[in-house]
Amino acid sequence: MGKIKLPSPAQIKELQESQERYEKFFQAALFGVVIHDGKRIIFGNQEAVRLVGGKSQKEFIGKSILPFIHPESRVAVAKRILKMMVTGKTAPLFKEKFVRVNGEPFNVEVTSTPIHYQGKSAFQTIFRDINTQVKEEEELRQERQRLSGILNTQNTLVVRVDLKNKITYMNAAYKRAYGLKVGDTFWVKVHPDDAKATEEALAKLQNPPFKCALEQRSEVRGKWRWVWWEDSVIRDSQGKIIEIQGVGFDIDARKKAEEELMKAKIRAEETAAQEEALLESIGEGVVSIDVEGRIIFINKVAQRVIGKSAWEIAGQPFERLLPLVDENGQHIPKERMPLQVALEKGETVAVSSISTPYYFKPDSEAMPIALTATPVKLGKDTIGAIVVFRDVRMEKKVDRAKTEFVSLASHQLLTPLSAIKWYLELILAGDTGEVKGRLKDYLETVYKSTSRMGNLVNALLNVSRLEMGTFAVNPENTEISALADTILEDFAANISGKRLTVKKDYRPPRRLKVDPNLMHIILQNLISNAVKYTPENGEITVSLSKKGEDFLIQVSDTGLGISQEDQPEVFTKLFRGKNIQEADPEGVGLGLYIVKSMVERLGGKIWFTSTEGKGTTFFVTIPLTGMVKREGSRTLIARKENAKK
Amino acid sequence: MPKSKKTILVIEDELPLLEAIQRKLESAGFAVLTAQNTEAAMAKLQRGPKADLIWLDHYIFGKEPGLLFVAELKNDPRWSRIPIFVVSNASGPEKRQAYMSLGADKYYTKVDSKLEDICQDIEEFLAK
Repeated sequence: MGKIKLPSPAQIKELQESQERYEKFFQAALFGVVIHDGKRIIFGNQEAVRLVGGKSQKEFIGKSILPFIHPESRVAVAKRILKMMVTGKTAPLFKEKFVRVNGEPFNVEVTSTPIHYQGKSAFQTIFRDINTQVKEEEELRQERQRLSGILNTQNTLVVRVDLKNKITYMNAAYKRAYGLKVGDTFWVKVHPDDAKATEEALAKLQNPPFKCALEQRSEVRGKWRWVWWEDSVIRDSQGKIIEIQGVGFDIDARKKAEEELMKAKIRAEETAAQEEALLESIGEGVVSIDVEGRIIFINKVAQRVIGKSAWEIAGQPFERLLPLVDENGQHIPKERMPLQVALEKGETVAVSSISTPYYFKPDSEAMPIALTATPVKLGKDTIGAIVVFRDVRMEKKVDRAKTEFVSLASHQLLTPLSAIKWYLELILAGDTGEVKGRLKDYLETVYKSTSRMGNLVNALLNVSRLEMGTFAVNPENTEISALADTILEDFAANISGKRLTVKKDYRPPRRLKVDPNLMHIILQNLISNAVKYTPENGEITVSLSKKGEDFLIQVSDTGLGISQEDQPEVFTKLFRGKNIQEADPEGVGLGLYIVKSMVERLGGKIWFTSTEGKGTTFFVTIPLTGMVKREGSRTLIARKENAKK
Repeated sequence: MPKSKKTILVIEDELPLLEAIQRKLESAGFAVLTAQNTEAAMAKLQRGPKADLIWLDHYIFGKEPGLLFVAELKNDPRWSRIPIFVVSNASGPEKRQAYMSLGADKYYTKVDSKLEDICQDIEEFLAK
C-alpha cells in the first residue's frame, strides 16, 4: 500500500480559486475528502460518503464531525485541529478510528490541512480505510506469535545449522536443553554408546534421501537424555543445500520406562525361576493347571506320586492322571471333583486328611491324599488352578491313634466316675445301713456332682470330636417333629414342675434327610436351654417350617433372655451369661458351642434374637437337601437328661 | 422274692464295678455269677448253673471282645436264647446299633444309668 499523495499547495491554491474545479478534482478521488470548519461538514466527496456508509453527499453537509470520530480518537483530533489553527500547518499522517453511519468503527489513515474554502477558514481532511490492512497485520502478528509460541513452549527441539556448522536458529526448548545460542558453533555431547549410530545417521544427509532419524543420548543440563532426532536439509530457492535442520523429541521417559520394563521382566523371570525351584523343593505335590484342566507345571513330588515325568504328562488332563476315588474305590463324581469345583466356581476346595478321597497310583493300590485346589484368578476370571496334594498315610495313622486315645480316655475317665456313682447309689439306697440327715444331703450333692461330671466329660469328648472333625454324619429320613416331641417328653417333669406352656407349630416338610443323632443334639440343647432358663408359668414354642431352601427350626421362650453385652459371646466355648450363671450354676457353657459348630459343619446357620428379661428365640436352618453323609471315626454323644432334678 | 432265684452272669473287668453290680443284684434277689473276661464267662456258662441273663461290659480287655462275645453266644444254640444287657461306657449309637443288631436286648451307658434302674429293667424283662 502506498502512501497518500497529497495535492501540492500550488494545486490547492489553484483549486481554491475555482470551487467547482476543486470539487471535481476530489469528487473522483480514491480517498475520502472532507472539508469542515472544525465542527461541521462543509463538503464530503463520494469516497468519503462511501467509506462512512452514507447515501448522498448532500445529507452530510452541515452535520457535526463529532459522531464520525471514534471516542478513542476524539482527543487527538481536537488537539490536531487546535494545532493547525494555531500554526496553519498541515498535520502529518495519523492512524485513527472513525465511525460509520451504522456505528461500526473503522481504522483510517488520515491527514489534515488548514485551507480557505468559500472564503472561510476550513480544514481539508483526507483519509482512507486501512481496516483490512490493520486486520491483516494483526492476524499476521498473532500467527507469528502462535508459531513462535509453539516452537518455544513445546518440548520439541528445533535447531538449524549452516554449512559452516554455525547455529542459525534454535527454539527456546533447544536453548534450554543445550545452553547454546544462535551464532555458536554447533556442538553437543553425545553418549559414547550412541556415537557410531549418530555418525551413520548423519552420513545419510549427504546423499539421497537427505534425511535421517535416530535415537540418541545426549547431555542435557548435565544428564544423559534420550532424544529422537529427525534431521533434514534446507535448500535455497535454487535447490542448493544451505542448512541442516534437526527436530528432536524428548523420549527419555519412554526409554526409561522401557528399561524399567526390561528390568522388571528380568526380575520376574528370576522370581519365576526361584518359585519353580521352591515348588520343586517342597515336600508336597504341586500341579498347575490351565482352565481346561490340563497340566502346565508339575513338580518332582507330584511326578513321583503319579509315576511319570513332566514331559510325559504336560498338557494332559489332570484328573485322568490322578483319578480320585472314595474310600470304597468308587470314582468321585465330576461335580464333586475338587479341581472342577475350583475351576467352575472359582472357590478354593480343600479335602482334609479326615474325609479324604484316595487317588489311584496306576500300578499300585490307592493312597490316601489331602488335597487343595485353588483357583488362579486374573481379575474376575478363573484362568486355571493350583492343586497341592500330599500323601497322608502317616496322618491317617496319627488320626487313628488320636481317635483311639480319645475313646480310651473316655473309658478311663468314665469308669471311675461310674464306680463313684454306683457306690454312692448303693450307699444312698441303704446298702450300708440307713443314711439320713446331713450325711444324706451331702452324699446326694456328691452324687449330683458326679452325674454332672459325666455330662461334662461327654460334652468335652463331643467338642474334641467336633474339633478334630471326626464326627460321623449318617443321614436317614427323619421325622423332625417326632424327634422334637421325644425331647419335650424327656423334659416333661421339668416342664410340668415349672408349669410351662409348650406350644408346637409343626409345618411341612415332616421328614428331612438328617442324622437323627446330630439332630437330637441340636434340638436337645435348644429345648433344654429354653426349659432351664424360663421361669415358672412361662411359655416355650417349638416351630418347624420351610424357609426358602432351608428347613427352619425355631425355639422360643419367655425366659431370662441374653443381655446385649453377652450376646456376641453366646456361641463361645465355655461362655455362660451372667444371668444364667445365677439361674443354673451347674451349666458348662458348651451346649451352644457344640450346636453352632455342628450346624455350620452341616451347611446350616444358627442365630438368635433376645431381650433380657423377656425371652429368646433361637433359629437354626438346615438345607432342605439334608445332611451329607460323612464317614467319621466317632459319633457324637447325645446328653442323657436327668428327667428328675 | 421268687422261689427259684434267677441267675445273672455279670462280665465286667473293673473289679470295683463288678462288686457294686454284684451287691446290687444280690440285694435285688438275683443269684450272681461273675467273670472278668470272656474266657472266664464262657467257662462259667459251660459249667453252669444256667444263666438267665447276661450283663455285659463292652470294654473287657482287648479290642471289642464284647461284640465278639455276643456274636459267639448268638451263634451257639446253647446260649443264643439268653438275653444280653450291655452296660458300657462306650457311648454312641453306632455301638448301640452294633450290639442291638447282633441280638443284644438292652444297651446302657454306665455313667448315665442308675444300678437301680437297670435292676428294675432286668426284673421286668425276666418277668415277661
